Amino acid sequence: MAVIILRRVGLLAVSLFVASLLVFALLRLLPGDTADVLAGTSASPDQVLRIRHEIGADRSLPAQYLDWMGGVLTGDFGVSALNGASVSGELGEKLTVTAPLVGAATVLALAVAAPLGVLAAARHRRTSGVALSALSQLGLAVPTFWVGLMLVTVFAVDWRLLPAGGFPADGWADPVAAVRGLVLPVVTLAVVEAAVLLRFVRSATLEVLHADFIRTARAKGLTRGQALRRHGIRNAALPVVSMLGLEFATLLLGAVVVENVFALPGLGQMLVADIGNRDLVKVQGTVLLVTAAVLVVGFGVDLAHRLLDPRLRSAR
Amino acid sequence: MRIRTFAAAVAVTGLALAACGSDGDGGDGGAAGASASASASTGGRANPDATVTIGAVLEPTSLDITRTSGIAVGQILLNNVYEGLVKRDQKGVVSPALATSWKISPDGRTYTFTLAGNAAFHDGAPVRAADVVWSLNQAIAPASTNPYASDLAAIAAVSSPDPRTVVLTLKDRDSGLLFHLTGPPGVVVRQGATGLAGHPDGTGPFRFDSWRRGDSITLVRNDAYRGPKATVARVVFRYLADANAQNNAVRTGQVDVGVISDNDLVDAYRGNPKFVVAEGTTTDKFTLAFNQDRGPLADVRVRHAIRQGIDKDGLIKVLGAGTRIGSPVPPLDPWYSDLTSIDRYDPASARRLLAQAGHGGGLRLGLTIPNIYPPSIGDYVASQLREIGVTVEVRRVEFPAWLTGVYTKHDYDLSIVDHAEARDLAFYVKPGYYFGDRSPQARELATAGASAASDADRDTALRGLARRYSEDAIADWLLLGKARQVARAGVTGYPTDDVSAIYDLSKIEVAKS
Repeated sequence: MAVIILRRVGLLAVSLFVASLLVFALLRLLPGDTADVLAGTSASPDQVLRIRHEIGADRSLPAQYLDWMGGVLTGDFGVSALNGASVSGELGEKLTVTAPLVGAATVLALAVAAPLGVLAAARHRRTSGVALSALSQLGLAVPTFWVGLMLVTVFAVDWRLLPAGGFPADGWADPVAAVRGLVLPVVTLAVVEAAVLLRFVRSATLEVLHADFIRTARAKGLTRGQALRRHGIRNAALPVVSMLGLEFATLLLGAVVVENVFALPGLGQMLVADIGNRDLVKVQGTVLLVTAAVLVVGFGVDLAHRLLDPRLRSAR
Repeated sequence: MRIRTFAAAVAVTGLALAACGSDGDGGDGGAAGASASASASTGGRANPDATVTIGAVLEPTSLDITRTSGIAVGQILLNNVYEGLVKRDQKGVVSPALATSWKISPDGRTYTFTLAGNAAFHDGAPVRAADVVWSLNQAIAPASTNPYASDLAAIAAVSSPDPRTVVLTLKDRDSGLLFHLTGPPGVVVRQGATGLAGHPDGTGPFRFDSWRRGDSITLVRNDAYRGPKATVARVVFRYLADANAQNNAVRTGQVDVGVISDNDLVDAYRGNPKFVVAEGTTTDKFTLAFNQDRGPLADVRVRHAIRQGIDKDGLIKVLGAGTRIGSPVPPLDPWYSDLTSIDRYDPASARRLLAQAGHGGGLRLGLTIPNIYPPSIGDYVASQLREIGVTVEVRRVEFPAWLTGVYTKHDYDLSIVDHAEARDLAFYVKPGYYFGDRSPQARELATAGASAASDADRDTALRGLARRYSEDAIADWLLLGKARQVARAGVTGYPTDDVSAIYDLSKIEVAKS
């Protein structure tokens, strides 16, 4: 097991290195230039050159990359070219919004999708199962931003139960206000996610229901429910956990949309603004962080697999 | 989803797009004395401890006003946190600020300012002439990175014969100098000030409190201000780039005043006693620029044809708001004249002109437009031009791509952006500007305007320059935007005109509830 973990950690490091190269290179291919943005439309060409020199954008690309990487390895993501603010500091601040948003949405989606998915599978020939299935199909079809707009219209504008958007200016200093600010965004993000997961849990469970070991368990005298609970769920969980790892990336993407709809000062909203301003140092720091998060989650899924399935523990 | 109309917003430079419009009010900015703010006050029932939250669209990229391009930083900091020697109101009228009075020498090349004796920075340090000299010298220094340095290009030297006097010596007379001193390059910071990006330290009626990036900027009243104190304790600018988010925030009372540009959204507030809809004029000139330096647009007949082929009233109807202007001069400027009769909408004449220019068989042109503007603008122009036989290929690009491709490299045929800066007539004779009038006559008119000895002479020259631009068809001015705000009833005194460049908070009041 230790060897396997070590090997996976090595793979993670290599993936991150390749990702950093890709992120850095792809951003340099974008049309537009940080110095042009800083200079705006009144500055003279001489001034643009001076600004480009001042922010270090006139150095060679390898030098810029090494400089950036050197900082990242020591935990310093550099400073924003636009306002000199520390990128690490800003990432930390934005994560206090985005991490709870994505985390809570994942938990909520799973909490809804897992039992309903199993139920939909167990009753797949009955009306309730078909209805659940249809509902999840509907959840998949609606765009995230539309769900957000509808929730705001009903719960914030019409009923005034929750804020229409935003996050308290002093963050989590007032936890109740912070949680209230996150309720609608979390639900928005979770609705679509739950629909995806529900379908997946359903099909995984259905597959298990028809497996030989369930028939054997039934033959031993267990009821269908007992067989499912004792032997089925653990087996059905395997593909669902893999899916959850993949869906994590989708959730982060969804956070970009949701943060804009709800005016939440999180990572996604910042990323969109920074790309629009060509604040490349900040963008590459953010993208690298998100990539690292997705890779680490993949790593975690891999470990979880091995814990759930003893057969994999000895496998290479 | 609803089309994101005007407030869609730019994150970046001066070519911002804020909300739009003008009812043609405004008139002669030089003479109009009244400041343009939302009428009636609370009649003495103002709550001095109130916090006002203002919904804004464009968040500044940095708070260092001495080196940040774009109008978003000036919008919140000018007149509120920072002051210059002089300031301007929402209609562009210049009045004393840190200087209580000034004298201009008969040759117009020496400006002598007398400083207020009791002005102080927010940390308590008195404002000395040395601070003013240092600030202006930073802006005009040869190695200046102040994006608006060129506004003060006429200044040759800044000196101070005594601690309360500042003398500007000019290379040439500059009739626009006082106006330019009211903008970002004219602000006075402490001698040797650093760290302005994180902590602006000015002399105005509000102190900077905090900036939560991506969310809001908070200012608090400067109780030590030398003049009339602000009437609210705190002001929060909340940045809501999404039009629906902005609308929801207004609707649910999360913001007290918000920018609502979309026609349908605004209509929902009209007649509702809980809200007031305030409309004002702007300097947002949506400009269809012609690249004269290459291809068919070098031919003035083609440029006239394109102008005559676009029905501007139709576009204003499509967008729901705006005013037709025939030149880059908005009605707020003293040298405004109605030039909309030049190149009236006349598709038949447009087709004739194109045929004369040898394009009777059709013409293909590219149109580059930043994706921050409503797609309907580009689509409308393309469909109008199709009618006169011009095939337009619309390219929607990100704003930075526009800056590099069109603005810097001049790689375009047609381009649409909002030129939001006030009084930018002289831009268009700058050599190397991405479009403009390259003729010596235009340059002479611009020089005559700048070096005019009287306002009347200046206005005559600049009126002539604007007419030349229009007759020479250096661009087509599609419309002037309109500023539309919706305020909660009980909030008064907020500015209504030209609110994207300066948002003067000194008169905002909130009625006691």
